[in-house]
Amino acid sequence: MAAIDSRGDDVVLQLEDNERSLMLTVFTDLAALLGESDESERPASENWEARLGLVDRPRPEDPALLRLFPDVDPYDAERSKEFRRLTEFDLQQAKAHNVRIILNGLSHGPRIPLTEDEVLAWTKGLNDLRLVLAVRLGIDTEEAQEEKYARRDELDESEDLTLTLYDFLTWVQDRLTMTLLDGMQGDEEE
Amino acid sequence: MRPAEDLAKPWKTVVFNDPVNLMSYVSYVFQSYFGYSAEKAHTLMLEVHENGRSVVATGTREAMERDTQAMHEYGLWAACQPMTESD
Repeated sequence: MAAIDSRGDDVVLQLEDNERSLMLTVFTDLAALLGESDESERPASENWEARLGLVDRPRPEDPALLRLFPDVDPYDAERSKEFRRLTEFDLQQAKAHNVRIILNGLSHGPRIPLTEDEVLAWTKGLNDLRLVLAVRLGIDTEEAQEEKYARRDELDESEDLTLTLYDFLTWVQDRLTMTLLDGMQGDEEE
Repeated sequence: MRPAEDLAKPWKTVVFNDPVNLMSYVSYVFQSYFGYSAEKAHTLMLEVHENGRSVVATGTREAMERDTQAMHEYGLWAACQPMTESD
């Protein structure tokens, strides 16, 4: 069973081999999803144009991607389009960066020491992955979530596994967030 | 004619509820990013959870767009909208 040990400034995440290999798989998938319009495969000039907000970026059709890259205002399509052009490249880079930090940590072994910045990257990346899994599971409201758990016996094997994974990621994210909150408490007391 | 204060602060950052974001995480984001106290962050988090949405900041359009972008980076479901009579 995974464990999170935090003493003083150090946070150590310990994962069983099966947990670690599963997380490697799903975070690699998330990296691929984020890289769907892979920036590195584009000519450098286009990359610069995107960075400078000169290139229109299409509103994602995949609901999971739309959840990661929401409209700036669901009631204003024109402003949302402009905002996407100006900011989505940076947002995509930030999200991909968090996933890279996670994949790097997972590749080091069962005992993963994390700095505070890395804990933050992990919590953000875990949150993004959970957003994607929730969309895939059809959990878009609290009612849908309750229904999903209430009818768990009826889920097919792959959906049941996804839900188990989702719960596991929720637990890790919550525990890591607690260490960040504890750190803030410490700052206030100093 | 609107009062001067409305002209100075005509935009808002709204955070919407969703079943994925953890209460601990949302509280952390409000404290860490906005510098709100634990109490204020907790109150806003509960407002999102119970009312489905909460106005977490108000200010210029540029500032509110920056805040919304930051919320999106944390994975919170947020929008930047002009203030209305009901706010």
